[in-house]
Amino acid sequence: MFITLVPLLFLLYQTFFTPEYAGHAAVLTLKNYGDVFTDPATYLVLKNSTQFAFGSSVLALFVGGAMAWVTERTRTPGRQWMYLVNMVPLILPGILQTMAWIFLLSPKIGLLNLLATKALFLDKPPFNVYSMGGMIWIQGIHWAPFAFITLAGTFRAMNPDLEEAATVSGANLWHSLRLVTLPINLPAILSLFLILLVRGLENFVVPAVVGIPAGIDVFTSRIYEAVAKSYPANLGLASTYSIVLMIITGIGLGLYYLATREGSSFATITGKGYRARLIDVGKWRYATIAIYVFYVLIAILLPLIMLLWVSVTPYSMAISGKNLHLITFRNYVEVFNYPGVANAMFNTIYLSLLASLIITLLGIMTSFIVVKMKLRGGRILDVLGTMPLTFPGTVVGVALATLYLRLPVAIYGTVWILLIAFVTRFLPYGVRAANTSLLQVHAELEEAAAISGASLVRTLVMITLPVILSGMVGTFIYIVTLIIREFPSVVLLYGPQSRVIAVQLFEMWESAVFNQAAALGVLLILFLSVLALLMRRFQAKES
Amino acid sequence: MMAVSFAALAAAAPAGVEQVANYKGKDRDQVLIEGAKKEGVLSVYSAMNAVDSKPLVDGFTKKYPFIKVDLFAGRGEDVVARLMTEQKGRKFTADTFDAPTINVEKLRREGLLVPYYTPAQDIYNKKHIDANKYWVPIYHNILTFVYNTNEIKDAPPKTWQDLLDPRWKGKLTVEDTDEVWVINFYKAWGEAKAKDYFTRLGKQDLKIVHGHSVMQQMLIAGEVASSPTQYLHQAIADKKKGAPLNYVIMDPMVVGPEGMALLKNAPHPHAALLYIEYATSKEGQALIYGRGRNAAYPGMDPLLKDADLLIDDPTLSLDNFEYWQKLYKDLLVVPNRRR
Repeated sequence: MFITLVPLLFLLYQTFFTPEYAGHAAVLTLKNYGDVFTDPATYLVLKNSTQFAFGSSVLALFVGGAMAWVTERTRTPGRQWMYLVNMVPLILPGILQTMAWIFLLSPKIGLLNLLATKALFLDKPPFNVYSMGGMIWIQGIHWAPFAFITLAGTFRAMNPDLEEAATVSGANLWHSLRLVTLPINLPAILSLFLILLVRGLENFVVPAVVGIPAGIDVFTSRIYEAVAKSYPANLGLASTYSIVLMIITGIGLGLYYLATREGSSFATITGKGYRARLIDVGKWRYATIAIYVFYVLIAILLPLIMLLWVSVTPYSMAISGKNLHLITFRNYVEVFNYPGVANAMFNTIYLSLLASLIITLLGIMTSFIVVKMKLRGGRILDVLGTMPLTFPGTVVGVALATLYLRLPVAIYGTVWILLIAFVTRFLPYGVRAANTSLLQVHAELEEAAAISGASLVRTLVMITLPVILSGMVGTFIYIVTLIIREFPSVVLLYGPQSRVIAVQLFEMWESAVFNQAAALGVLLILFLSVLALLMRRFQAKES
Repeated sequence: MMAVSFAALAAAAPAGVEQVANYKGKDRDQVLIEGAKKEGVLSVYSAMNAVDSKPLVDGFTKKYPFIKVDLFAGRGEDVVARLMTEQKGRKFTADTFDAPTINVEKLRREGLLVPYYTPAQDIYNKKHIDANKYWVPIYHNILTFVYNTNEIKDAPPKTWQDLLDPRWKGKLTVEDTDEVWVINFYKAWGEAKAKDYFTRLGKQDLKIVHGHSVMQQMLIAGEVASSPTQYLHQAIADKKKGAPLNYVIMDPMVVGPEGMALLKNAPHPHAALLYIEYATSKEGQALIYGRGRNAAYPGMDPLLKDADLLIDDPTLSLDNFEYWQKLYKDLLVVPNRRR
């Protein structure tokens, strides 16, 4: 509760004040609200933000969801590798991903454009990344793997009986999908959509790097302007814009609760034992494999190859035969020459693992109280646990810094304040994931345990936990990746001994050593791949 | 009783720092070294990135092995935000701060800095150092004309007026937060000439980009052809690596000096002053120059020998920031909006 309320109250408080600076005290005012709501640009910016967030969320959901369904509900060969392959893009910081896509889709130098115009004899490059479409593509494709991992976990745990019943009644594949699969998994889908929407609304990198040259302004540009480009920094105005964002996502959250009111009708994991029966795709196998290949190529391999290329070249250049002789591994060597990089790596690894563990456990606990125990305050707890989703990262950082500088607890500038920031920021992901998992576990299982005399805790540990474990392992890993990438909340809180990789990477980027930043990105991917492989081992043993 | 004497101590601290800072006695070196030995630690907050700072810090530690340096490096705006949050929360860790002077000025206005004496002030060009002794530059952030040699095959511009020529239409890129560039031309040329120039420049089909780093990658890759507002030292560094870039030493060039300042509540003022002296000395400056920066020491950077530098006065920018932001947007950004 504390974790959620602090940033929220801080934010609200700020909206009512003018900036405090150089001898001018902060003055109580409604001017910030006036500025925001009477500025006609606000509504244009709102429209752009919504379009961007909505479009990219739909794209991610559709692509990731389709992949998840093919992976978990069909017998398409090669499914086992999809999890691992999908982890990869998640760990890449937005700036690296975005630059990779610019080098692929720029009308002037984009590799795909060059290839397409040559191969298809076009007179104009077909792709223009500097457009709303380009922005939606980059964001959508970046988050499709996240949608995949979330929905794959849901589909995996789903009882196939319902789908079987539909098939037996004569429904074909599409009917079964539309009338059974989709409605049953509505909480998971909506929950995911909400998260994607929020990430789209608060995204700063894509609108800055691609939107500005395209002339498209979004909300986050306004927030950035108010904080970083104004003197004095107008925290009150920035907070007001943030509140508007939060209201939008709050509406989304409300709709989610409306749609998921009927708890038990979503439960598909019942007392009956079952083995997930997979659809034998038969001759459609080639189609599904083709879908796989296409997806992996476009969403995952392309930006990765571009990044790899950048990491082995001394400066940005086109991928071409005549440039091959310039390949060097210098950038990787340079990465390790950075003062403090070892410390940053160490901090990042253990902080992300620890924070993710805490979040997963807290998520399970909170969700258990809410879903299973149906306490009166349960709903409120759920809302509180999810609310930090709506807090922009910078706000979390500022709020925590200000608070802990005033409290007599000496954790400012240490790893502990970073831990709190990460838990604050990503707790909602744990809560939502645990929620959807738990909703699937039918009360029958637990009632059976209770009848046999098991206490609440025992039930949780021996029955519920193992059942939702496969879903939560995926959650654990992707929260780790989100934490590793996280920058805005960290920038005000890290100290000389508590640096993390995201900061290192950002600094490299700002010093215009893009190629070294790319090398660091590749190293992060390697780390994550190893982690994912280990967890996969662990998961295989458990089942 | 204890509470009273602590309070007295706290109030006395700033005065102590100011005294040390302006001490000019014959035994100044000795006083500073003795004091630094007792302090043993130095906390540097810097906008110069850690890699470029390393030789300087290493050189300093070699000279004064009894001082352990804690370097906190980041982007200028981030370090300033950090410093302000800490100092307002009464967490006084920082000793020295260096960043583009616009950020130094922000701190000065909050009463967080103290003027000081350092020998460099007797040697450096008077126009390059702060008259009120709040900062001394350690290097210059210079904005100049940089271009991709594959995209621009004809002769590069010789003067700023050349850029108004039709052949530059559609070939120029500006960064969307370079108000400092425009402000200083207004100051140098006067309002009439500057307004005319920038209005006409704004009609040259400019491409607008966010971030000098992004712009640098685009220049190197050929995504954009040239920019009148890119950092000289970055162009030099990337050209050295073999990138198809070249730069022009224009007349004049706008400079955001990297000013080094002393914090009023510095917990280690003796060590701080030794560091400031070292960073602005010939030895320290050579190390900064060695990292490719445009070092401020007179004569050290041959490129700047006869250059006409417009040193940014942060007071101008900060006093009317909203005005300049709007002007920049209206003249350069809005006419080139695509949507």
